[in-house]
Amino acid sequence: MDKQIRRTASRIGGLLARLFLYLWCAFSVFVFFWMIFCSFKTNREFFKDAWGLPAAPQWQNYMRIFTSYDLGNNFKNSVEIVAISVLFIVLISAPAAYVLSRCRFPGSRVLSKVFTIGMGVPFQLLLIPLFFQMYSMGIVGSKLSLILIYIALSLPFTIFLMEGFFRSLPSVLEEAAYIDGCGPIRTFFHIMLPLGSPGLVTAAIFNFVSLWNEFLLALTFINNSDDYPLSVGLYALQGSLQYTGDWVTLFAAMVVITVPTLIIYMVLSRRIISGLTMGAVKE
Amino acid sequence: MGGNSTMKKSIRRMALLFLLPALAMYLMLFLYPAARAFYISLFDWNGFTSSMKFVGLSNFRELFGDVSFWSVAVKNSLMITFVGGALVFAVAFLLCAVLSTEIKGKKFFRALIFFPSVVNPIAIAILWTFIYNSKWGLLNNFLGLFGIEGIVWMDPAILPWSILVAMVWMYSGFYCVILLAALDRVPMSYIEAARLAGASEFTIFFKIKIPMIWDVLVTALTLWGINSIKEFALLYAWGGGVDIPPAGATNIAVKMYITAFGKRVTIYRMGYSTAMGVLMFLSVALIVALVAMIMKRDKVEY
Repeated sequence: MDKQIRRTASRIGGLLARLFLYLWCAFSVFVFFWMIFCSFKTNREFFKDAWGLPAAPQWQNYMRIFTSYDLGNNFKNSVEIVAISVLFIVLISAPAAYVLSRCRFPGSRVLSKVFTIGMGVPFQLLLIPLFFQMYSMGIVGSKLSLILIYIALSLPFTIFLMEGFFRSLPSVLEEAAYIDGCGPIRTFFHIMLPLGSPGLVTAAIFNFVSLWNEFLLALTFINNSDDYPLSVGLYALQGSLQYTGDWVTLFAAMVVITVPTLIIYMVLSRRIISGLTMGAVKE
Repeated sequence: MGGNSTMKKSIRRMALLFLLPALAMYLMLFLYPAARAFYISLFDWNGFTSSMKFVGLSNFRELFGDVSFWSVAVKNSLMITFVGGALVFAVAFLLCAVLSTEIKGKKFFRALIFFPSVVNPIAIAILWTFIYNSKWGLLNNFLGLFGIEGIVWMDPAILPWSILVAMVWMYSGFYCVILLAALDRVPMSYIEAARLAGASEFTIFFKIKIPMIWDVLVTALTLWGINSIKEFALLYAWGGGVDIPPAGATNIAVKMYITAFGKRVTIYRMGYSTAMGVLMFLSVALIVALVAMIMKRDKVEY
């Protein structure tokens, strides 16, 4: 009797939990499509009926964010800033992570820890000192300053991620290469780096997504609105539309900022998710 | 033997060469400014003049005596970290309890759940202001379908909770996916044995699966501790792009930014602002220690 009740309770609980999952996902899908539909409405349609579909897709909303507003330029800046940053992050982190994960030398453990600790530092601690460091270098407010900071601040996580990846490679390969008379640097470039390339790609994707969406540092270090990346551009656009009430254009802008990460996510979601595991789940 | 020692030497040389760029970058643009922050926090400084007046700990004294800082910024930060954390992990647990059973379309659901965490936080904030808008927003419109009169979701008294909901929606999936990845590695044999012994799915989840992914849970909680203190974009965008955010959207991070660089009201109190940064750093350290302490237990080997 008691057992029966418990079984029924557990079945109902399971059902409710499942229902919660479906509702949660349905909500996310709905919000996403709502955003897209709104971006194709006219402002009148938008205000009149929150649920209605656009009578005809208003492509000019998308034209407007590039012609009347500066989002095209913001997009270009984002691509430029993020691409250069990610390239250098990977370029600098990969060799360092390789050495830290596979070479033992005095202090190697400590060094690895020192990099890892950086993951726990809130960037706000560095904000003002970095600002005046850039100021004294004469580059504050420029894209270059933001790129340099993005590179430096992404190192702890990237090195941590790649260390895990390199550590999982079999050491037999390295030893075999050494025995064949291959020097350590050549071994790295010809054998270990190609083997580790999935890890490099994962790290690049992660950094791309997080830097594409980064706001605080971009807001602080970019002065000129010509240099704004998308996240700051979207923020500024929201401000200037406050007066015109042209909200459908803002929705179009939100779609534009979401699409690149969405595409990357759709194509590479398995890799993103498995990369997440690699960082969190250690053998 | 001679070959071995040349090998060792050339490995050392590679180690140095490979570490140098990362180390130089990290030292100059991470460790040095981090150390300098502690120094700056001891000064009264507007940033642009060279005169820095040493004031000892008085920035911190002022900070601890600032009632509005504690009753608004710190309160919101605490609420995000602890109440928000409880909600995020409650949702994450619930979702991954379902997804860790054999369910159809698991990968599809997992991808959907994770999706909000790759969307730009500014876009998410804007989206939610439209959901909450009391006149033509989605939520009140929806309630209207059932004849329920909506409320002003962005009313100062309710705003922190409204934002928290947006935040839970944004982040739960991320933590769920981390936990899920670990849950998928729990050996089936344990679960089947428990099932044969008549344990309910509920019992299996909390008594078997969760203890087995304890380490990952600790990592996830630590990550939340760090990220929740840092949270900035989602809150700052509540200012509508023209103004500083309302009190309900002001946490320590937002307050700190405004104190240093606020565009509307330029305050330029760099020492005082940096003291807030130091406080944030210490908060993170405290939270990490707290998580480690609470979650401490003997490791389960499997």
